[in-house]
Amino acid sequence: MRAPVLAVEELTKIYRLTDWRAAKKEIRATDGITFQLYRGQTLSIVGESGSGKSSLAKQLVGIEPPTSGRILINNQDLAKVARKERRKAFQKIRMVFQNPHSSLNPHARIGATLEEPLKINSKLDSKQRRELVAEVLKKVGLRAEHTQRFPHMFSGGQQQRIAIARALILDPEVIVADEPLSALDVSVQAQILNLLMRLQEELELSYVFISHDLGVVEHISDQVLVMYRGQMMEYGEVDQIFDAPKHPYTRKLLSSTPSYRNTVKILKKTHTREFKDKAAVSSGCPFAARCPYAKQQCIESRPEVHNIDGQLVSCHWPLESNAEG
Amino acid sequence: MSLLHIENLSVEFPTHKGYVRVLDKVSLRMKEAEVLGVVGESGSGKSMMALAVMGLLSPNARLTADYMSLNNQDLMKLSGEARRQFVAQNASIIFQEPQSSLNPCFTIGAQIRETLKLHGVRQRRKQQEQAIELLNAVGINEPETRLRQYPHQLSGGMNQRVMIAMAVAARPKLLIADEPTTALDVTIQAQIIELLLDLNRQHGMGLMLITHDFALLSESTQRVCVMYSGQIMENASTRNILESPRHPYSRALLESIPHIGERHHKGQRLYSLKGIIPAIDHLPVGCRLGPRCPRASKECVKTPRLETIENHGLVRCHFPLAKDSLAKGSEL
Repeated sequence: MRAPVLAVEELTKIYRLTDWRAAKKEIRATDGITFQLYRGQTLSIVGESGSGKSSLAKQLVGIEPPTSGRILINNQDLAKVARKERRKAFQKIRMVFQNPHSSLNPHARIGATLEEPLKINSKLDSKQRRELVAEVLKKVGLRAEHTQRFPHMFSGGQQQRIAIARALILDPEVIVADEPLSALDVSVQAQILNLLMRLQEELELSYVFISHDLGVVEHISDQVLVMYRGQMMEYGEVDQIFDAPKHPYTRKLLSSTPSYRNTVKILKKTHTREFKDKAAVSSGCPFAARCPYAKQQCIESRPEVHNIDGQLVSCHWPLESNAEG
Repeated sequence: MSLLHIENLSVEFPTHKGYVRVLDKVSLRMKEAEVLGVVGESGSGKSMMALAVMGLLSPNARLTADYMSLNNQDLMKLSGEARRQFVAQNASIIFQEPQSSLNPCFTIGAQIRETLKLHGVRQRRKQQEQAIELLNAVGINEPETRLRQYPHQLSGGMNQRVMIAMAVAARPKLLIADEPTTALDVTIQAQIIELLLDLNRQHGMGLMLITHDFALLSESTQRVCVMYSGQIMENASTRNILESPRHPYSRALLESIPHIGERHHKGQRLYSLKGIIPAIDHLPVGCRLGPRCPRASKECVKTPRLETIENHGLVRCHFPLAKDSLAKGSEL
């Protein structure tokens, strides 16, 4: 197969907290995450809040340096790039944030916001920059005259279009979108999702799409990576994950998502007790405390990653495809 | 006999351009122990309706209604204070973000005890007993410890359970849940909805579930009310709306959200209404969906009325969709 546009190897980020009671704590925000993303494809990262999705996104675009592990774009290791080349390397991977209202500068006109990356990263003169801005605005469904306006003069959906335009303006290959729909109204979400899909086809973009909305994920993705407490639980093609989840956590996520035309009966009382999540599960499987199938081994040792027909599952006892939850 | 009966409820707020009507002649009936879903986007007036029923509107709001009763008591005939007390005993509300509804400066116990005190439990020991009982009822383990803790020490799901415990302390006849799970994770969301439905079944408590998520309603409600721009657009049984929505807006809402279990081929576009929900002080003439509606025609500059469609429910549209248009996948 072709080389991946983006390859992530054993990405780990450890935050060290210094407690005033002198006990030092380590938080593994991402723990050994590995994946590959190919041109024109979408990889979705799903998981509950606190699972490390956003931390992963920040590392991908260079906001936070990873503690260990590698991020390769077109086979180029981002950590090893010479300082002078760094900016250039990161032009290939751009980010769209969750809330456009807070990710756009309220004091800057849209034109200025969109021109800024060009000023920093290119040698274009102001006329060329303006032309490029007008072009990219058209791509996202806005008009060139919008450059003179301020962010507050736009609706949430339009603001998100501007944020997407800002990510596009340096002609990236990968876009990392961290919950790009969750701040938007339902009827506007569909517009933005359609826009993302159209842009992907036109520009052969690859997306790392972070979301907790499994319906959207199923709609847009090629591959899905399920995270829990910083670790990969399951990683595979979208059909594999949604039709035959092999990890108990994936199954739990799927069965808790209501869907009005779903074949899976939801809201079943399988496991309604809230477990003490904080019970330190450092050595074993992170999901063991909530897993209905957990056995002694799950608490004692961390499961290996099983490869079942290309679907990666991190579980001692991966579920049979047709096993009853 | 009905639990909640509203006729032509309107709410207006003063602005520099004069009064703006955010809720326009909403009529609604809930039977005892019924579970009613209210769907709509932000700005559709669904929360306004809830606040109006609870009497929680800000003082500058102007509320008018032809009739409004709760548990067969005409609310319009009560004085302010009597009305407040009556509503407090018969209805409660929980909000979207439990973290911001609870007071961060007081322990969970203090806040539950305060509620119980207002409902006439005077002895401290009795308050403590009942608080523990309530926490048990909403599925919180180690209630004694929790009572001594502060909201920030509990998870979002736990805090929402505490909110529910406080809301059901007086055994209300009606619980309004205004987006109770939007701020929570999906796995927790399922638990909270299950808890609310349990309370509904066990105590015959009426439940008004306000949300923007159709899927959430499909499993839990008997009837659904679709709101847009301060008006009710469609009001029918959950089954009817999900299987065969008759209002273009209901159908657009259903089709614009991808649901799991539906197969899509790569790159398939979602249905989306063009434009955005109109500003409430700048409404279109006639049907409020008009400018966004694919079926709109000349007639739609006249305001449609909420009319009964046989074997379905109430629909506000000049050109309602045919039965089963969704199943047949015909064009909107």
